[in-house]
Amino acid sequence: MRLVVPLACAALSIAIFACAENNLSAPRTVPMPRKDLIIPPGSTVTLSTTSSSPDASQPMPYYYDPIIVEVGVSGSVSMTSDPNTAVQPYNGAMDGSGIMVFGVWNACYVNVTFTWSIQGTIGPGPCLSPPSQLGMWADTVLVSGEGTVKRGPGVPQYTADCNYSPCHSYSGSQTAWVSPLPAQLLLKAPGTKVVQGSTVSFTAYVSPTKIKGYTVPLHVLSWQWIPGNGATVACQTPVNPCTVTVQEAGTMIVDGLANGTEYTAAWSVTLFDPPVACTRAPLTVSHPVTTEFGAKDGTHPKRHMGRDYGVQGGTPIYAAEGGTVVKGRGETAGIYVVVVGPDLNSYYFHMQASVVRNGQHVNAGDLLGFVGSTGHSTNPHLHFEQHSAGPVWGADGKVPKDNLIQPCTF
Amino acid sequence: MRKYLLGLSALMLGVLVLVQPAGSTSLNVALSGTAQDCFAGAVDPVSGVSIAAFQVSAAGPILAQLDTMHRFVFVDFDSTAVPKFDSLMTRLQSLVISTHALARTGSASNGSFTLSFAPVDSVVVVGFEDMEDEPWYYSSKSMSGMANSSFILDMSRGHCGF
Repeated sequence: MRLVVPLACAALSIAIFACAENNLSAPRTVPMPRKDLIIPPGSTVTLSTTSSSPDASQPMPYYYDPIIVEVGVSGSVSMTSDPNTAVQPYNGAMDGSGIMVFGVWNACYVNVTFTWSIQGTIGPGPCLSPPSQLGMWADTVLVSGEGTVKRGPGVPQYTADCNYSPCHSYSGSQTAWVSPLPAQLLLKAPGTKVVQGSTVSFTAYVSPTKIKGYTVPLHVLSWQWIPGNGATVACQTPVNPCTVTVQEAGTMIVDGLANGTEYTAAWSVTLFDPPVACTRAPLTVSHPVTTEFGAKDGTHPKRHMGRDYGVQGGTPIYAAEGGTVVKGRGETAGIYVVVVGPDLNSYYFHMQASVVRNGQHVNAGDLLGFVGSTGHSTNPHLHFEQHSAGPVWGADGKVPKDNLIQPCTF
Repeated sequence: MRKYLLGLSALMLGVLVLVQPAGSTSLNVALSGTAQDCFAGAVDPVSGVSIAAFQVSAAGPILAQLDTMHRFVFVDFDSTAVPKFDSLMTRLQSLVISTHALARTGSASNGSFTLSFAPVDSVVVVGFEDMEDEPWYYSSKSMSGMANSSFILDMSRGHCGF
């Protein structure tokens, strides 16, 4: 019968459509070995986890946002048909959208064998709101698993030989799982040390921010602020960033979906210790504070990292704490001395002159130099700044921020 | 005939004037930014930052200087590091001032600024300011110059996690 029908088809082109339709009228199953299969839109697809799923214990994830998945086809597509028909892949077998497209000319029956591997890319799918059925996502994701592809109505194929009406079609019934590309959920805040009562913004973000050129979707599920006295809900979703007024040290925890996979991220903050008394007073004369720690004013367009004392030029400056001297001269700090101690570093800027040498050990109360107005300074003053133990300069030349402390008082 | 031609010319000129856009600003790209730092866990907008945008293809020396500064590694107790970086910073400021910029501006009290210019492939935005308490206060950001966008000019250079 197979020999007869193709010959008839070849002889009477007008009969092609009819015989093809006849052949299709009785759908038959094309056995598919385990392959990675992309289900065309409109297919009948059953999405469920199976024992062979990578994570069979979990239900299919519910995606709030379109997710980015590895998808596509490379490799070969081989088709066999009756000897008198021409069957060839169309458009390199892959139309770039993750959907197989192929043409069938003068065919009365076709066996199609798909041999492909997972490659290529497809971006977020067309669903912009949560789907009512998980299966709606099938046209945007890679599904892997065993199943069958049946001939049957539903999915139009190459139609030129069918008078531009669907002639051959396939529908799939596939047990599958989705494979979102990995992205992490992370949390950040501008610093880990805060002044009590500060308003701190915690921002959830994903890394990487883009996969294959597509923005990775982030969906925040919950925020929780855990201060010392217990957990509280910090913000209602989908707020991001979440802002809290920090009264005591604590940890912010965010739960969310990064490209469809749930993660938890945390960021802890501690409070600045209240200023303590200096071991020895750096200045022994009257020393009005001209710019306080954390203040902003006309000459300090960002928050001040130290405390400025307005005193006469030439006033002696003594080491508040002991340690090893790092000294130098810079355009901004002018003549400066940093005393690197075991527990904290003390910075003295804008000196008129210093009397210590690099690497010298000084004790609290030792003379370091004299107040001046060198560097970026308009009047003689001492800029006094302290950090807990760490490098004097970061490797990038920035004075570290995360170990900044309130300067000792005297 | 001459009168006719003159009248026709005047009419055409009038038409040309009418079809001429009222201004070219609508064709410009606007990059809206905020210069910001952080302090005590909170965002700290920075005012008074001198900001300029350069076409990347015309800012080779600036990009090279930024790269040199980016690769400079400070070592504590190296007394030569500060003057070395000072000279790099001086050179950067000099280049930023002397190189033809697409636009220049300064950040407002809330740190905001806008740079407006005719579209170009890509731009590098450089900002710097003299600070009493922080040497080498500068930042840069490269981005597309083809479409309006908003961005943060991170004066902390990554220390605040923006």
